[in-house]
Amino acid sequence: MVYRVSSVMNEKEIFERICKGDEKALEFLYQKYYRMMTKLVITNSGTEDEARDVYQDALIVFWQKATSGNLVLTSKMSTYIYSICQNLWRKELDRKKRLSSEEKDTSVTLDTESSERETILAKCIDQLGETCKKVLMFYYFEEMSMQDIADKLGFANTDTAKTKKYKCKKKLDELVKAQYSEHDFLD
Amino acid sequence: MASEKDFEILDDYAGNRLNPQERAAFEKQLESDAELKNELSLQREIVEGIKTARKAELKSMLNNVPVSSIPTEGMSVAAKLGLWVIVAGLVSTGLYFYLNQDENSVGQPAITNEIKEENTENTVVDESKPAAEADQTEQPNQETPVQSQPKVAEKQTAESPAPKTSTPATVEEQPAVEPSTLDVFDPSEDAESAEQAAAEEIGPKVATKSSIAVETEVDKRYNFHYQFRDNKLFLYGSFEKNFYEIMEFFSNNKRTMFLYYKDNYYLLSDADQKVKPLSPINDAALLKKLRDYRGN
Repeated sequence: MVYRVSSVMNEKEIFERICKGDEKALEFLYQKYYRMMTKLVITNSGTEDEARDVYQDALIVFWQKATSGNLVLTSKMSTYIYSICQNLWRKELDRKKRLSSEEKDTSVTLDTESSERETILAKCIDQLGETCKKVLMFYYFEEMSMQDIADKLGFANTDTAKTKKYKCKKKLDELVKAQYSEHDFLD
Repeated sequence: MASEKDFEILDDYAGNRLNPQERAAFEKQLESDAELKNELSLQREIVEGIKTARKAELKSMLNNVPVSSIPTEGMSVAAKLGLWVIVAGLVSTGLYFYLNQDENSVGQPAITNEIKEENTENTVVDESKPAAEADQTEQPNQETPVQSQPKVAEKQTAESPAPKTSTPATVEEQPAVEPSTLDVFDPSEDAESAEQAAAEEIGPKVATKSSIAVETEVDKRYNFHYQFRDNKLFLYGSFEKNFYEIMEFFSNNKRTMFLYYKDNYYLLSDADQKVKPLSPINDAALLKKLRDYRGN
């Protein structure tokens, strides 16, 4: 019995696509390592939901580092992502341990104002047009270059991307400020 | 009063776009400008909000990606290893009965014994690998003669599971268990034809990189189809470039091929040159085997 596999998917190419912010490549990677990564949490007293959550968070950390150009891979992607999963799960286990020993006293003090602000902010972002949202997300979260943003969103050039980003940010600032002052959140 | 330029720098600062010198200069300016400081905390909040929204978006995107669920929960690797040793024999016996109830089966008692032995060994080796190991399909180029299999297997079992102990032997050991399973699900019953004999020439018992040439084509008539033509596999449809995998199994003078694409497996029959639609394999047992091969 012989088993051959044509790995048409090439690690380097996937990584390059991820660096460019290709979401399809991210989805692909997610599927590829799903079982391997979630197993880590599940075999270390985690539920499948927790495993999925940790894996997704880890992958997003990886994605964010890659898209922002802050990542030079010295190992395989899987090794790298696996180590992020390990760290996140360790932190989560620590957090759980602390919670159960501290009788939850300290964490109950919820900051209602800040959570209200978060809700308002989320609503304001939601009010932006789809392109505006994307430009801002790519700029601030993925930390993509203007060139990559222009490529991804089909803008003519980096100047268009810059202008768009500027205008969208201004619009969001205005929305947020108006809402915050309405709720007396601004000094 | 902060100028428009200040706000621009502020935005770059909040967006992590300043170089170290610019950062330092701006931080100095912040110390003496209360208004700017206020504005910065607001800007940081907004940027955080954007990041949170994006993270949530990515998470919901990933949640919509189909993934294979996990069969075992809450068991340690060691416990599973032990369990596997016990269960391995049962599984292969079960597999035998399973095969035999199918008319297409070619299973014989003699073969079953062989399978049982190998299966036990293989499973032990496989499970002794740490979960950290990257999937097996990434080392398809290495070749190891099968004759050395038992030795390698023993050695691996004896060693404590440390990362990176995976060897090519592991890659090819598993397939030895499978031939009849795959045959069972192979609908191309005319597979014993002369065409298949050619595939055999490519040297037995070596796990290598598949030599199949694959091309993706867009054809209005076919949205998700395939075809074998001129020794090439053509995939019709809007395939994401390079995001598929062809799995080839050789056994009993037969070649069985599968396409892996977007977490689904498809049987590829090269019995003729017709264009055929791709339909995902639903059989849970076969899916599990295929996933095990791919290592995910």
